[in-house]
Amino acid sequence: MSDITLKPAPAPRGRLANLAPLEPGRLLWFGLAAVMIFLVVYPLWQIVSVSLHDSDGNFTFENYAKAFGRARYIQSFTNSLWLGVCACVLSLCFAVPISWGLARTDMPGKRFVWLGVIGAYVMPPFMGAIGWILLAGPNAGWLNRIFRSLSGMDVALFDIYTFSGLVFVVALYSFPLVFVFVNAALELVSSEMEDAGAILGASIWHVARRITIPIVLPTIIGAGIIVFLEAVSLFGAPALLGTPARISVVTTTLFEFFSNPVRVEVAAAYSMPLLLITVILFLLQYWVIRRRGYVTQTGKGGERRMMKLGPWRWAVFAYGFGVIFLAVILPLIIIVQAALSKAWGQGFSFDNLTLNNFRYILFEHSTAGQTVINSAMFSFWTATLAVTLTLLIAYIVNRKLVPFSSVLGFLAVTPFVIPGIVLAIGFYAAYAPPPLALYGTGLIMVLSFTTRFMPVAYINAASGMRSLHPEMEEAVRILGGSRMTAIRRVIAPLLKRSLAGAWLIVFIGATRELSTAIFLYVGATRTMSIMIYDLSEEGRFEHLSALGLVLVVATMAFVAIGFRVVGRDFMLKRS
Amino acid sequence: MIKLSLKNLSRTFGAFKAVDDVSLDLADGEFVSLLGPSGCGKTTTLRMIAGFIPPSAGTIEMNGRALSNPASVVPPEKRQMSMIFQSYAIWPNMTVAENVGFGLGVRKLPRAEIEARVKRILEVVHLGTLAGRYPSELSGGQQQRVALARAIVVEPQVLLLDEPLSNLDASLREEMRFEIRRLHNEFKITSVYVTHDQSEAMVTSDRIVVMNQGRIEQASTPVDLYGNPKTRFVASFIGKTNLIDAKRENGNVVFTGGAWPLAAFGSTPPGQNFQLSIRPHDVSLGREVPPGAFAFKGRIAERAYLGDVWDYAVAVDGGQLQLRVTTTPRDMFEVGDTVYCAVDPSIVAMVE
Repeated sequence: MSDITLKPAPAPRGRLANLAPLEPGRLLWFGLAAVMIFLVVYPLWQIVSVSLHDSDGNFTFENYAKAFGRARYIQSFTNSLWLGVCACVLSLCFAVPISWGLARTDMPGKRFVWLGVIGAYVMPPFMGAIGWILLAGPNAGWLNRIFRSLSGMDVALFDIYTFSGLVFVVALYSFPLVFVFVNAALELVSSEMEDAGAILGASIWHVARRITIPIVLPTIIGAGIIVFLEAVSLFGAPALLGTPARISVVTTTLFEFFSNPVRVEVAAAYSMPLLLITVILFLLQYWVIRRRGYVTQTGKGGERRMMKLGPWRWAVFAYGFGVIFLAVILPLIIIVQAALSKAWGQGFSFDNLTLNNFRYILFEHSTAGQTVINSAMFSFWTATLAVTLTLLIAYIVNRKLVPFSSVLGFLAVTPFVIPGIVLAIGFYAAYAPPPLALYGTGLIMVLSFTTRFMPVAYINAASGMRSLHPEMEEAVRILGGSRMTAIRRVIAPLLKRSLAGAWLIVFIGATRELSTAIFLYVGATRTMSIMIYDLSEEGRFEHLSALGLVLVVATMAFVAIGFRVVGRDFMLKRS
Repeated sequence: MIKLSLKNLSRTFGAFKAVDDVSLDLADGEFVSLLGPSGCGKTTTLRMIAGFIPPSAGTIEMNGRALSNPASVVPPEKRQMSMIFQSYAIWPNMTVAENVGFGLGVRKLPRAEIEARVKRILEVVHLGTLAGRYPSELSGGQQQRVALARAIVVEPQVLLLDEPLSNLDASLREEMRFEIRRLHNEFKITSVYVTHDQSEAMVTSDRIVVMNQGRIEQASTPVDLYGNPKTRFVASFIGKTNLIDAKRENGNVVFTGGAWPLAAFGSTPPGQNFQLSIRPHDVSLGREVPPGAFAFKGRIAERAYLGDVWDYAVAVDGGQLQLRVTTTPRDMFEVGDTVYCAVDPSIVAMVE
């Protein structure tokens, strides 16, 4: 035996054959690798690099000193962390009972609540923030005015321009994320788990508290971490609600570094800890779900029946309805009212009714119409690019066509840990200067959006690819079809639905993208979401509401198409 | 003493009658199996006993007290029963000891007693060393033992088992059958066991209830059920058999291949027209006319060698009747050979 092992191993002929210079898979790999370096690696590298150099290109730590040299900047940082923690806890409180009610109980009105959660998911957080400004602004907010007229007291009951107001709004629009994960996990728990508790004498609440919820606890923790990441990288809501109250967070401070004079180096340095935190928490989240994610015994007897709650089912419904009322119904009513009003403060009277806001915003305003076209174009190209790219990557990774193919898959999900605003800084640092000088072009918007939404598209494409057994393709090839024939005739048709779903999700995400766009746009490439943000700075809530309503209604239409094409799992699928 | 009593129990799902007028009494400490093909209503019956499903008609009583009727149902958590599920339903977030101790915790026993009882029962099911493990770190057989321990430790009034072995592989399944019977002999808990596997039912049970299409076909001991099946369904579901159409005529039993005096049979015919059930290994083959008149003459039509037995198909009366016969490996015949099939009528069952 020993003399055999001492001999040098024979050349791996199979591997070498794979690496033959003209193998199409290998060419494709190189092409995709180049694209991924352009979209992910280089911008990330540029953030690090720019943060460590001064404007003359000399190595320095000066930028870090500037970024963290002031107490105010440190304060923004702790504000962000605290916002993340509070929003995370509150959104868990919103989401977990609703997920449980929908997945495990006989609560009434399930379809309604479910649609409401989708509504909250679809509502851009900055639109929610605007709705709540109209509702709970300290002076003119409707809730406060109603309270004053009812009580006769001259005080504001609610003030949305506070830290707790900000937490409330952020949680209200991030709880659907928790719902997606926790609901999916709860649906996988077999009813026998609960029956086993019931037959041993435990009551429904005892079973929920000691068995059902603990089983999905790892998922709840993981979802909480995701909400934290979402909350600290949000730009719109903190800018709208925090800035007037002089509460700054990391993202708004980064925006400050980006306003005249533009200090990219300092912004890059300042974003570094945020990036570090997201990476660490993302890994933690992954680890929590992997390590403590329980594989429940399914197979035979794994069916799910709804728990009978008796009269309590109305309490569970009331809770879900309450959350949806706050997140969707109330803000939408107020936004519709503002969009149809001459002056939103004058209330629900017939004299006040007008359609002028829509006419003005869509046809008369010098640039607003253009922003609608821009949003549609950028989103179209982003979705097309992201889905095509990730389909090819998923194919190569899944079929292991070349060695190290999984590197591409890793790069495709990497942007998940990059907050949108940090990504924008990276793109700015990498491609604004010559030779490419892409700043101000539509291309840089599309490319940065593509990078931002690549992980979502990749997860969809990869899961679709996993569901296709390689033998489907091998059957084509043994009958004489080429690999391309297999892709064209078998794989693409089979993946049609899931690719359409991925396309729509990216498209919808791109139409509402604010944090990446706000750093990279110029006048001609302004999008709807930026326009809405600008209008709110000017206080023109009637016009803004009209434009926002156009965005929300269009999004809902696309979501409806998605449900038609893809089915119930669209959007709310765990990914 | 009657522990558990099902009286005219029925359950419909829409137009489908899942359980149809089932009546059954279980003695204290008795182990009864509900045996039948899938969809025969056995699991629905079990879930009604557990209280997960209310009956459409009929009542369930335990210790003489009503538990279920169509109007009201004592919920599962108030029945002092325990159950073993198909998927085991071991809670993955709790250790073995926590799983087993759960029911005792619900009963608010003092901690020290819970610990002592958990420890004792884990010794009984040979899991003493695994108390601190999580279920994902256990094998299928060990999870099954946890489920057993968790159900037994609370000393339930009635233990319900819903196809508990169906997720195990064949050899483990065989081992666990004996384990379940051993635990029953030790604790004498009144038990209802649902299965579609006849050998599982035969190994574990004092009495087997064969169900078909929501009705009880026959309830009896394993020995009686095999030897004296009352219906065609029972005869063919429990073991293999040859079913031959027969009728009663002038003190004789007349069938294809012969007419034998009724007095020679060990059982009484259930009616004018009925069937004879002849087990393949109750037939012996020979080349000569056997002594005594009870034999068929036929030709070997097919044969298969299975190692421990020969499996023959014998065409009787020019192929009008085909008999399956199993013999020892030494009884060798070629296809086409003329043979005599000797049968002892006293062990032939007559079924509806």
